[in-house]
Amino acid sequence: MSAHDPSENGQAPIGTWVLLCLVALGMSLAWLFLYFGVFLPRGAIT
Amino acid sequence: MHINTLEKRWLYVALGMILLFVGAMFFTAYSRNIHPPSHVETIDSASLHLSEEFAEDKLGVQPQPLPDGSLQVKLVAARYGFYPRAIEVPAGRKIVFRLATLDVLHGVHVPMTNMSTMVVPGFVAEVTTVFPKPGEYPVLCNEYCGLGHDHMWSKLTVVAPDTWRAPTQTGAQP
Amino acid sequence: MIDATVKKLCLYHLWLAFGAFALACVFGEFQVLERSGLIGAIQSPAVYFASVSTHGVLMGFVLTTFFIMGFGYYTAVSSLQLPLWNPTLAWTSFFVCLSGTVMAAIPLLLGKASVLYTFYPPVQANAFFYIGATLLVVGSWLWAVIMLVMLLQWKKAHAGQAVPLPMFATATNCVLWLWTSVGVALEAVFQLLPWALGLVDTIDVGLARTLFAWTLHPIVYFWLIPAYIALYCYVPIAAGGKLFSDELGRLAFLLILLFGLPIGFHHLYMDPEQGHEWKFLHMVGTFAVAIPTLLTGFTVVASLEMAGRKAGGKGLFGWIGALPWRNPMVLAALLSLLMLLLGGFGGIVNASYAMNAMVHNTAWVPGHFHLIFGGTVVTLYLALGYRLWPRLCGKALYSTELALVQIWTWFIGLVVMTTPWHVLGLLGQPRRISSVNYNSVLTLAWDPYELVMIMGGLILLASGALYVYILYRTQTAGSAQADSGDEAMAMATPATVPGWLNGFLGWNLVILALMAISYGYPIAQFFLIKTFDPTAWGY
Repeated sequence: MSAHDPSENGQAPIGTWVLLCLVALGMSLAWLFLYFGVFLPRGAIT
Repeated sequence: MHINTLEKRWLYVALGMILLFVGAMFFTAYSRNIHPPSHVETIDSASLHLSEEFAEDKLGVQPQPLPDGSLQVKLVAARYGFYPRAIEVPAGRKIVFRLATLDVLHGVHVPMTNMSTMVVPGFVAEVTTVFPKPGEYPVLCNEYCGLGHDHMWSKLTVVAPDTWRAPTQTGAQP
Repeated sequence: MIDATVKKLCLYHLWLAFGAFALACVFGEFQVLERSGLIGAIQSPAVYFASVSTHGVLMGFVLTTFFIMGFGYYTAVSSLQLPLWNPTLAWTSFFVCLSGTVMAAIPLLLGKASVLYTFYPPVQANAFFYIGATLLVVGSWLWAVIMLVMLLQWKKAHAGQAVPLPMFATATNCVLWLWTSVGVALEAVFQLLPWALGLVDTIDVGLARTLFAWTLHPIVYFWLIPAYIALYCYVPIAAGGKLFSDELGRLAFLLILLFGLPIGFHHLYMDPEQGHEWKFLHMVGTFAVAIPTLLTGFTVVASLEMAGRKAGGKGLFGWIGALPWRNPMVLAALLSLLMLLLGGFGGIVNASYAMNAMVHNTAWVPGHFHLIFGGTVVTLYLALGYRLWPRLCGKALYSTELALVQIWTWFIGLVVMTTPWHVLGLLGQPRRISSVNYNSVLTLAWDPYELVMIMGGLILLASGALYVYILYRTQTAGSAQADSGDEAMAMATPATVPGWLNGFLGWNLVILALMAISYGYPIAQFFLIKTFDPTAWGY
């Protein structure tokens, strides 16, 4: 199994990790903005 | 099963983000009653004109508010309009829309507001919302209902609460 | 094992798929032009809705099903190194699907089946439309049987060994498709066909929509999985590296299978015939299915990062520039991943329970699915076409340069077309309208966006035509090229993987349980409560 895992060879996908953390942050902020800043102010719905 | 350390951390981040969204929706559902319209009430679309509720002279803004102060509006969706085709309601007040279709599927949406629901033959669609901003809004059909779908719309006027007067009777058509 | 029979079978399937695609592009541009109202001479709701219906069927049923089947035959023989099982059945499947397609196409093109891709009753089409669509689905079941038989043959001969990833994913897709298509099959056999043939007068619309919703969500994963096969199996190697984690790839495909099925009600959030408890449940499941895609993002991007670093990329992001952007498969992957990010976010918005009221049936919805399907998925289908054509025809790809131009223009066209589409949705423009002119002030804001969309559509039409041209020239005028094999199909497989990542028998029971929970009562209710079913309506 370790031969298949580059991180075992001393290389870790740190760029991917940072990039995707930024993606998660961006998506979270965008969703919160849409939900609490656009959707709910248009009026409560049931 | 082997998971790279950074990928495992990412899995936690991703799960955390998902839980943030689901948590927000759970919170607003149970503390502010924010739900999509889901009434599950049947009606015979072929005989609306004979029904208690959706006969033509009963449609539109109802003169009597509900016990909790919300206003009721009853509309019939039919090719090609929402009847009555012009209604006037106050801003800032809870409004319970009840719609039935007399023919096919329709969707009703007032742009820039959360008045939105499908109107399915055989079911009463009920959606409760509030219009925060006064103005003139179109009430648009947004589900394919035939070749005239693109001109199926009606008018909604939202007025400042102090200038709104309840109608004295139902059934007024513009 | 990619012999002459398999090559012919694949080429027939893929030409049908890409031919349907090219034709549908023409209809698409007509639609955006007609809808804008700028050219008075072409205004016609009747032609518009016949076009939309045909375009939807061609892109969402014909392109997809034939591509997936053709690619599946290719994958099975190449990755398992087995001869095609039962070629007669394979050709039977092809002809059943083709007959169904033609049978549905005739009423569609004659304007007698303008019921759109979703064919919601009680608007009724000519009976041959429903019969044709049913045949297309049934034919695909024959394909799925062949795939699963070949999987079992291989497993018997290689007991205990890990199934090669391309075939594991393909088999996952077959299991998914068989479960997925049950919904629309039930709707067709028990509701639409008897009603369209005049055997019954009325139809339960709530039940029909619920059964269709069963299919409507997981069908997008049926389309997505072959694109993910490209990302996991072809792209890392094309980038000069290798797949970061085979096991996590399997896990992602498995999670898509499990969580992608029991979640159709996010298509029914605004419907009155299902209660909000069920909608909330489906919402939670829908957010769960985001996980395998988020995992895929990491695994694939990490594979690219390793390849980019191997090529000399330095620092946190230098590997991105170091990747071979001039390799069509790599370029397609990079652009597809970007569109997956944007389109995936849009999907999360759609899934967000009550917030769906903000976007339901608005122009946001076609904006979303053109981006995620036309973008993420189709870009990779096109790239797979470029990869397979030389092997299937024995000719070198006609022009790598043109292929890169085509992939870039497809991406640019989609961004130009879908960005205003999403904005129009937030402004409240309905979908499925044949013109955008309402006599209301609020709607006047829409006009400039329509113009931009016309430009986007033109770029896409040119790009789609270029694609078919490249394939055609490769096949007819390309220089002969010896078969260099398929490194993705020969990719290293771990010696063993845990049994739960190598087979489906037990997982079917889990799926059954999840489906029973998610759909059991919501379907049963239509037989328990008294419903008033409408008769047929024309349009």
